[in-house]
Amino acid sequence: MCGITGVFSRNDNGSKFFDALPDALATLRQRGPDYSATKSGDHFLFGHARLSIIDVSEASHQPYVSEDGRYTLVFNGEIFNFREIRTELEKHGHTFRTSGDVEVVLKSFIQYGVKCFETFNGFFAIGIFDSLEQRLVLARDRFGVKPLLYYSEASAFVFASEMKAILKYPIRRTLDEQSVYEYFRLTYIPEPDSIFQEVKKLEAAHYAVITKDKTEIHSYYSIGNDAFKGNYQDACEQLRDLLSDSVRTRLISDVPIGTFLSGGIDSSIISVLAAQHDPNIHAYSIGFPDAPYYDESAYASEIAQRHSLKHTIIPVTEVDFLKALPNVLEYIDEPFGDSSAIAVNVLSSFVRQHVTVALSGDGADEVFGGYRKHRALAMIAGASRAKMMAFTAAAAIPGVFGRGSRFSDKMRQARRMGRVASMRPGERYLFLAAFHSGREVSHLLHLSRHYSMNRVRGRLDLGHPDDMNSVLRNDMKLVLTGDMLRKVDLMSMAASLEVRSPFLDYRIIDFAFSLPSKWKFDSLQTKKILSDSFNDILPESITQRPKHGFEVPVGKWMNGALLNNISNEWFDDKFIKHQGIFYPEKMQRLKNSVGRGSGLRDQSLLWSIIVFQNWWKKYM
Amino acid sequence: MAEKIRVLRILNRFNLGGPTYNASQLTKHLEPDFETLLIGGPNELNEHDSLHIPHSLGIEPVIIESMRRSMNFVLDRAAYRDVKKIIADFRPHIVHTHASKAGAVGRSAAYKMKVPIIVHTYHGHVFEAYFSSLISSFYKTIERNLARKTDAIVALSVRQQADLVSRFRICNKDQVHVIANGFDLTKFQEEKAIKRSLFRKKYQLQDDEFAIGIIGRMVPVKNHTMFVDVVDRVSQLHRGKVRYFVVGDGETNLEVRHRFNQKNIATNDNTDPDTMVHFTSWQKNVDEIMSGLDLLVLTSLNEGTPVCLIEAQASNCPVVSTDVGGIRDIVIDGKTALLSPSQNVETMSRNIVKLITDKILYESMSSQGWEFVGERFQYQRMVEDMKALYYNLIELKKVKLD
Repeated sequence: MCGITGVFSRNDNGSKFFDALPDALATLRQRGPDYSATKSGDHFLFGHARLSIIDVSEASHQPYVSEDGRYTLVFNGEIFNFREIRTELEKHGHTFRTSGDVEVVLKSFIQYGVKCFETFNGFFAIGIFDSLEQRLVLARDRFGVKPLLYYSEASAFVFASEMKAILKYPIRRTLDEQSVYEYFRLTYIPEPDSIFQEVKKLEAAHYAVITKDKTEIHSYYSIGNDAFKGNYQDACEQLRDLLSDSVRTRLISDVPIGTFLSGGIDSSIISVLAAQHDPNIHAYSIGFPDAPYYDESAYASEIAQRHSLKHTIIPVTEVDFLKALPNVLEYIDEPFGDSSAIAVNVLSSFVRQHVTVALSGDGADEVFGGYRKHRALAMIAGASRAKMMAFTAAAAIPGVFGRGSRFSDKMRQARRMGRVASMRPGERYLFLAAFHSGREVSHLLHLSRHYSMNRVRGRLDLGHPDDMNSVLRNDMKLVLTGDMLRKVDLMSMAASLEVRSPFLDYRIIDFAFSLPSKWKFDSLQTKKILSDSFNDILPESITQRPKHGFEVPVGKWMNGALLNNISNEWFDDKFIKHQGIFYPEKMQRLKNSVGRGSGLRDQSLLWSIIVFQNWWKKYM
Repeated sequence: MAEKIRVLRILNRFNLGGPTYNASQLTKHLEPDFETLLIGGPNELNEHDSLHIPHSLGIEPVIIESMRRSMNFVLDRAAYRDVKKIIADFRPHIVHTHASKAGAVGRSAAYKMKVPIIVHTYHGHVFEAYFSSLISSFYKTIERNLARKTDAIVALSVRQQADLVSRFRICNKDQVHVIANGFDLTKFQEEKAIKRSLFRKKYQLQDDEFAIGIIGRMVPVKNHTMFVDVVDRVSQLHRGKVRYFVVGDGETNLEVRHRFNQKNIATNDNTDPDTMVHFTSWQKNVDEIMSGLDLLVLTSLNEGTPVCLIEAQASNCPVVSTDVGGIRDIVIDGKTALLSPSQNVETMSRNIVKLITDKILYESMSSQGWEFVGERFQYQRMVEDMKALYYNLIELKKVKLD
């Protein structure tokens, strides 16, 4: 796994960006701690920081230049089918100097042009400079596993793996207030936008061709539309084969590899499949001895024992959490308020002590429908008139319940269900996808009356609220890329750990979207076909238990040392007034109510504020 | 009594900017102990002529037609010959050059003609922001060679001294003397109320309207396009009425107007009060403008010691600027100016809004401006420092005054 950055100087004024590249590259050290280098040529300069995974030899060091010197490549990611592609390329007469995927990527581009991205199975962010044509080509993997940001002006085009690198260049910075609003609604900023008006994210499944006078962006992939021909049993069998193969190809590595095992369905399947291919592989779990409600490690142990996995449980306490907190805040270079990032960071740091690569179950919830919101939407879509009336009545439950206990959580869900049922169908998805309601955010943010979720709406398909596959497509586009994958990349990279997600093999995604949605989830069950396909692996205790998500007891911990230790400077009245983003009274009220131990929504909102304020002090 | 010490003072060209003021003030106020001949190149076509600056001090400079701003081997050779001829006629004890081109031509000629003392003042430097890195390193090599022929190098600030010595390694530390610019600032304190009302009447500025200006040559390093982005952002952040004045002219003029158009911000070249942005081109009555403005903005990517900021503070006009080059030598961040990182539109815009809305902060910054520059940047101090340097060199080099 690596960090990449580069500059294409479009005219003489653009060369000032070159001087900043070493600083930009230095910010990517955690992504690539093993080796870093730069390569310059006619009007361009590339930088690469490497974490060596496949072909750790020097020959695969980057920036990588073609034999004739025409093309220069920087590449962050893994191409799992590179050996097959290489064989094809050899048929076309290409010869290879190295054994890794880097050379295959460049030669594919030389052979097939931008069509090559369609042949890659893996995850990547790529920059290629063609000195002869004087053009820069950037590309990003199908689902947005690896990040790629850019800044474009008349004199130069700049790209990098992370915002913190982009900000080392002499670029304009104007706050994108629409992004601020979206951040507080969703806890993340959906691509292609960023916190600054001038910086954009290259969207998943897109490539960009940049020349002296223009920037063109194209999509090279969208999820398939073919309907599966076969019965449920056939589908289960095919899914088993596909996933097994996806895990197998993702075990290619020249460095130690392990799996995350949370105790849920997804990571259990991945861990067991991985062990089938490599019995020595180790599974790692996280436990919260201080907060039993959130602790899932008992389920993980059950799976591990049943399949004789080599298994380690890492107990995470309030102390670990508090120790990780400054690191997490330090690493966040664009507001990202999903508090489970802290847990991912803690897990990644511990696991990194044992392995360099870990397999995870990420993506299964979006692909196969694993969230409660999926069940809820399915329930409403299929509800009779009488049922709808009952749901609507539940909207009257007072909004005081959090996730802190089972009863409280049930009440919270029922109320939410009621509110969703009483909405216009097209509005339901975004309401459920958002962490904080428009009302909560408008009470907090000064600027919110000018903004809405329309920019996000415009990018989603909200016209088919009863088609559950369309709901999943929206999840792939919004939640998976913006929240889940961003969180994993950000926090695993902060620990210099590479995470691979076998569920995000595009063959599995295309397959999953060819299935009728009711095979995946309905009002009673989530991830149906996944549980059924692997029922020989999974004990009932796991398939039948309610969904938890990878959450940490932020509230419990936040009520402790957090509030007193780190937040005071960010809540200073004078600072808030000059900042002009928040209503000062609301900030104080929120802080006090969390201090008294209020609900999780307030805590989540407070965490979003803390992340934002910390980011502001650092980057504004 | 020995004869007067003769100084040949060579300037690139008489454009509106620091070097012209600096050289004119020195020429005038080193009298009667020193006899100075002030020479320089003509202006470029799109630059405003500033001969009124030396003229207002009763000085008549000699214009050398062959001295041009950009590199030109034919003309540069001619300028070199012309300067040598002047040296032969005038027989100066000291040749003092200002800024890069004059420095190259003047110092080479003086060295060739065995002038006893050669002094050079850096007004900003060319190694950053103006040119690409390749061209910059070419210039650095030239400057290093020239520095070896120079007895004393004058830097305008400690920061510039550090740049010359450690960052770009142009010369030794003991070669460099820091003598900050000096100006006749008293006019900025005279009849302020009258000047203010003249300016504000001309543009029909209401009492509750806030007037913000940017003053300087319109060239890439001044980064006027950032000013456009800032205007746009301030109008989003602040609903009250604000008018903007772009004072100056140059090669980026069209680009800047185009950017305003793109953002749907109305601009004009007249005094129509309904447009938000006025392009005034060059103005000679800087004191009137400074009195009329409520705030001066600078968006530069690099700066030496920009005169307009000193003048603004002398007029009690607070400054909002990028934190680049020698800016920190001439303003006090938080007291007379609010600084923000280079290119940071957001922070600069918020600094402006802060000054528009926070009256207490505004008043305190306004009053501290004159207190600060009044004592530090008046010309008398600069003249005394320069005299001391010249006498020192004469003694050191054992120059005989015939």
